[in-house]
Amino acid sequence: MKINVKVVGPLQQYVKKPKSQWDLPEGTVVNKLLNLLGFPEKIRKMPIMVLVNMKFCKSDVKLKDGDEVILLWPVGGG
Amino acid sequence: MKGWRGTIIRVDLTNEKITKQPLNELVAKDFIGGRGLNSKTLFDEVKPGIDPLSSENVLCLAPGPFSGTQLRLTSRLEVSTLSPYSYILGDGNVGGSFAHHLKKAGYDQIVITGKASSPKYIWIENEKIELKNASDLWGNTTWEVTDILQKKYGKDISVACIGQAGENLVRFASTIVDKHSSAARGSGAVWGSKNLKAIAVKGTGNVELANPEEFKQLAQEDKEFFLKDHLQHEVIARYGTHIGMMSWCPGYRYFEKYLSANEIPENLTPEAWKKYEIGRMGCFECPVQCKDVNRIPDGKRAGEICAALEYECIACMGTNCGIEDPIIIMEMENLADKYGMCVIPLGNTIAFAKELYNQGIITKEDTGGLPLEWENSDSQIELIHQVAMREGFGNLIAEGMYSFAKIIGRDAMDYCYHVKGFSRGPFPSGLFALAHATSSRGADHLRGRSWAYGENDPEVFPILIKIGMLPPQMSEDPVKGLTISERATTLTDSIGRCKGAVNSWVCAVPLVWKYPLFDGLAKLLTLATGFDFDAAKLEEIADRIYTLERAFNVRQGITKKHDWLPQKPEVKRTPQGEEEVKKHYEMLTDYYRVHGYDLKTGIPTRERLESLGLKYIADELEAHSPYKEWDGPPLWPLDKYPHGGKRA
Repeated sequence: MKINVKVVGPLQQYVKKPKSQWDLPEGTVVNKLLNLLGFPEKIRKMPIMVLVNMKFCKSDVKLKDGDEVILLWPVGGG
Repeated sequence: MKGWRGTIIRVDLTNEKITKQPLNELVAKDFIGGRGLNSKTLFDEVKPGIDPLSSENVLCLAPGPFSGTQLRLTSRLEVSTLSPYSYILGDGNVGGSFAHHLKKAGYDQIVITGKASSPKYIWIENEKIELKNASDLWGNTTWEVTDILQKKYGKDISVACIGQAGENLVRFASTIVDKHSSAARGSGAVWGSKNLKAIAVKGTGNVELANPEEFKQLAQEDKEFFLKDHLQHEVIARYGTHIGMMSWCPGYRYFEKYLSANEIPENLTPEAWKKYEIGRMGCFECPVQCKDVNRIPDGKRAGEICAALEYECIACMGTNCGIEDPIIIMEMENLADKYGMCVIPLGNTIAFAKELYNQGIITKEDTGGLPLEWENSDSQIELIHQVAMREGFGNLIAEGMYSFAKIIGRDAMDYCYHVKGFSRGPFPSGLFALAHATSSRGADHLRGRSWAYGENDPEVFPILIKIGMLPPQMSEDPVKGLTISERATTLTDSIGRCKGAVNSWVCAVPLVWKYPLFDGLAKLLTLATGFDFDAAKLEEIADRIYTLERAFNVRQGITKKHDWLPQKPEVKRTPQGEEEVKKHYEMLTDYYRVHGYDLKTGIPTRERLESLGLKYIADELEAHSPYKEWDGPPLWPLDKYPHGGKRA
């Protein structure tokens, strides 16, 4: 299945493999995608906000073909 | 009155006289409550140029019209005064249950004037208001005072009080509510200067509403939103402001650099604190519970509970001072709460002193022998005790960053990165720096939310707008965006609602998830008070409050010169530094244009003031200008301060 991925804001700097489109096996969960993007371990332990098709999701959600995933920090500007 | 209780308590400490005064309906409609009401009172009653630690200063405490109602996240109390730290408007917004109780007891504001001849506290139980002898409370920590008063009056009360720092007139002493919530900007020193130790309140009455049924229904929907919302549930309720360590870039060793998420010490990440957590807590009946409750596992304070530890303590007392040990950070948090001090100026002034020490600008001769190497936590804890007691080197730190730099002299001021006496660090020009430069209470992150995130990445705003986390108007020009956020925070502080636990992007505008920007708030205010509010009227009210606050500061000698961009010495006067300054002043000019300030002076124009119904302020500014230029608070000889006491 094809998944579109966009990482926005300061989170971008931690992506080791900045690919915007991923070809993944059916049933891949968001967590797996986060690993594939190459976030460092420390960043992975922080609460990254996940939007799938513009709705907040937990990182154990299974992705579907054509899903658009957006990743960002939850709150900014403090 | 509906929504409001219609009564203000006035306490004249000099004459030991308590009176109840009706709340003026027009003032309530024009300034709402909380911050708006307090700022208006201060403008009208505080004379420019007074010593903020004299009996002439005025102290105001106010909940908002929503406090004490079924709408949750509304137990927010605004504590306002002429700040003895910054010498401009000094207000802090604080949680706990005080605002809830005060409103239920029947009051919209407490105004305290004069100075008592001996220590006093105030006990309020519905209609009954008593001024009591506080001799046995004086000298105790805020935690001890709260325990004593709860033992006397019962657990179901709320206590606002000061610790030894307030008694000793430490210029950044806080008002502490219910042990763990701190109203900053130096109000604690004003309590101390008035010989006022505490106010305890118990309220059991009802806040009458104009349309209680519909209000109740909206309040229920609002509560359900907070219980179900993904961001609240998964992030805010789990981590609170600790998430700032990821994305708010805490300073490191007095702003030597700002730490990215990947550079945060392993022990200080949001998840790392979970090993100390034994529960969560929140302000009165809050469905979010954004505050942690930790148990200190070892060290000198092993077994002690450290509650409501926030990002600001970890960043200002921790990383910015070079301290990375979470056990020490929890100990420092508790000392700040017990003595009653704000962790931001306390931490940043200590970090400033450490910078001067490590630069060789000050030595052990200045510090009374205290070694101030970055990693020396024993010295830092000793210094915190000294600050609260105004002993040794701590007596200088207790003056706050700007006055400390003035007293030390040498090259200290070159490293004093402040705006109007407050420091949050030097930032590159942009919205974040502009928000800090123009905030009506000095460098601050909670006046105009600065949207630094979006500023750095144009893709962020459209996404947040699309998912409903930002109002569409934020996509317009940046300065207008800053103005929208200023209005949101001004209204939030004035209605008595939390802007912390709620989504930081939208600054707690009620029901923003359901209605565009201020329409939801207008609907709630109309249902509560019976007066017609709409979004346009609320924007005008917010502008009226913010412009009045600017005028208050103008009387304290603030002009365009003080809305500056602090820079490090190595950046100042370099081509890059000058470019930054140029950009800052271009944005500042836009900001003045939007706000109706004179472009050359930064003073609100007569036309703008009159359009907001503030002709009397225009007349006053015109009659008395120019005011003496701001240069921090009037200094006292260091040996004239009260000092000493029981260490916590």
